[in-house]
Amino acid sequence: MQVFIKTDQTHSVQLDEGCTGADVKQLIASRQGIPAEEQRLVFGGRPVEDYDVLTSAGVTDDSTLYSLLRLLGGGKKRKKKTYTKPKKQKHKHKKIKCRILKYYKVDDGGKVQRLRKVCPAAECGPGVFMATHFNRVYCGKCGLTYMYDKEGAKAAA
Amino acid sequence: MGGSSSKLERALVDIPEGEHYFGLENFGNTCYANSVLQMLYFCEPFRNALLYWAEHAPMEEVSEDSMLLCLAALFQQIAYHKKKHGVIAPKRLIARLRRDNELFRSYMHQDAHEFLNFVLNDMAETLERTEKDRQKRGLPASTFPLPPGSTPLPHKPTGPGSKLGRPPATSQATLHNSLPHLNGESPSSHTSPTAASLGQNGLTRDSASTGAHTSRSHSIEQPNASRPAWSTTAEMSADGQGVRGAPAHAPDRAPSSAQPQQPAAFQTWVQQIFQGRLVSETRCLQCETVTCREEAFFDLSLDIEQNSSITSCLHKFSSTETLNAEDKFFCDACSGLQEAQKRFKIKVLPPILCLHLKRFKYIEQYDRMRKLMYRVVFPFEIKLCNTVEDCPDADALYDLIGVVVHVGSGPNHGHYISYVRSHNKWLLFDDENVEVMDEATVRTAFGSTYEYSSNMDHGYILLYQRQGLL
Repeated sequence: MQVFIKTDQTHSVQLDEGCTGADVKQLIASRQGIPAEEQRLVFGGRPVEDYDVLTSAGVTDDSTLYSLLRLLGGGKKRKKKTYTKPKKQKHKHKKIKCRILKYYKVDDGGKVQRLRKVCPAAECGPGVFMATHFNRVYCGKCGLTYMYDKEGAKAAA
Repeated sequence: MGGSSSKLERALVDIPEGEHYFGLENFGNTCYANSVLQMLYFCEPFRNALLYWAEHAPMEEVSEDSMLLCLAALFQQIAYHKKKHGVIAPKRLIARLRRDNELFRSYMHQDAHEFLNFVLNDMAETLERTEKDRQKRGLPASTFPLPPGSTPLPHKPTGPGSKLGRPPATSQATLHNSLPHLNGESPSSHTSPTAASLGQNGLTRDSASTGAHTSRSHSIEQPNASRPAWSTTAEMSADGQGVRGAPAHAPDRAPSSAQPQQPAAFQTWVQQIFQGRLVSETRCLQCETVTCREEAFFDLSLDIEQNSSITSCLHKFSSTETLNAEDKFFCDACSGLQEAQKRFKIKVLPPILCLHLKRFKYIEQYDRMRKLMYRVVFPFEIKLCNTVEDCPDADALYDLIGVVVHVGSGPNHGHYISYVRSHNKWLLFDDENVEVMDEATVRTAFGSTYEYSSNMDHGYILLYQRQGLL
């Protein structure tokens, strides 16, 4: 049968009785290059699916099918979020020259002395030093803190 | 939000009681549906018919859940809400949509026109199925379409829904211009769709309208004269039917008079509202034989051009096109492939005319799709220029009542919003947001004459309502 297909122009095509929507899309793809998956077909106000056989969708000789494309939409325009608190300041690295010299001292015999206390906690162990503050020592890894007594002796806080 | 809703409240003071404005929640890229639903809700003939159906249809026959039921439930939820505005989540409808249609199952962006077309057809099919079931069981024809003399909408004395009857073809003599509205509904006076099954069959419909809706029963005595001539539509079968026209003379004359009369096919109220008919005429340039073919449409998809108007697009839609080269026409009269001229004309105008602008184009060179941002002016009032000559209401004027707007720079993603007219005001529906807008702002969706414009809002689907319907 002869069927017209209207895109932005009208095509006149000869189709077999068992032709499906997918076949028509393929045909338009070969005529105008429009990829089949981008097309959608409408006949008599009804959508024609890929698996629909045209004759059972009511298409007869000289019928006109409309091949349309899509304009996709659905997204929400994101509203700009307003923050009440100011942004957190990122940590700035302070460069101290020869920082390492604070931690170790090499004595005359060539032996290395460690100047900081090693954290005694099981998860830290040797290799993790504790920071020396004005009144306490603090382990940055596990958070263990020892306060200095007034006399200068160490005591657990 | 508080600020905007009180602004909305202030703007809505002179809106009649019973008109509700509810934003619709977006469940992940569902604004293609939301914008179309809002447009449909504020298309009063459609809304009224659906609400009427929901209250009066014999629900035990509509056992299966369907888009139709979901939409009816949503409309009832909005119409009978105790608040005047707010936000509603159309959960059930979207869930149903995702179950019913593979395409919409994903959370991807979709095409609003495709959705609209799917919804209308799905509703019509459900109604048709219900009707067939009735006939199978030997029941009298259903209350839909309604017999002449009754008004489908219980809420108003005269309504657009009155066309649901099939009156004798009187002219559109008496036009009721009074704006209809739901007259101060109190939620208690209403029944849920399931409870509405009190209309057990066609016979109890009257008792339903006189009983449960006594206050509005005066509507039943409306004279037929208030109804425009719809009956012509009823005579056409759904899928169109062709006739080989007499050869030779006057190709310009619409040969529709040769159309054999069809027995009145069942038409659902969805079709009665949106469906029109096109006639395609093909004239063989060899033997001058004119072949005609009539087809139904729910909307017209129009090719657009830069800096044009709806009228010129309609003109182009109906302009004569020559079929030649590989598109030659096989003429039965001269039994061969011939050059031919073909054109489309509107034969039957629908009460609600839906126009779809083809704002997309495939660029073969780049193997990709483009959105056409062309400026296409859609006036607030149009008259169709492309009807067949013997069209009974070729002079009918149409008012713009709704626009679905695509926001975005490309065809592959974007956002949909809608502008709707309600009680002579324009409102903007953007998912859950509702705002009153200036009439002039509607014009921003015409598009731009510049290739690259910052304005990305473009009218995509236009809904026009025939004057004199209300």
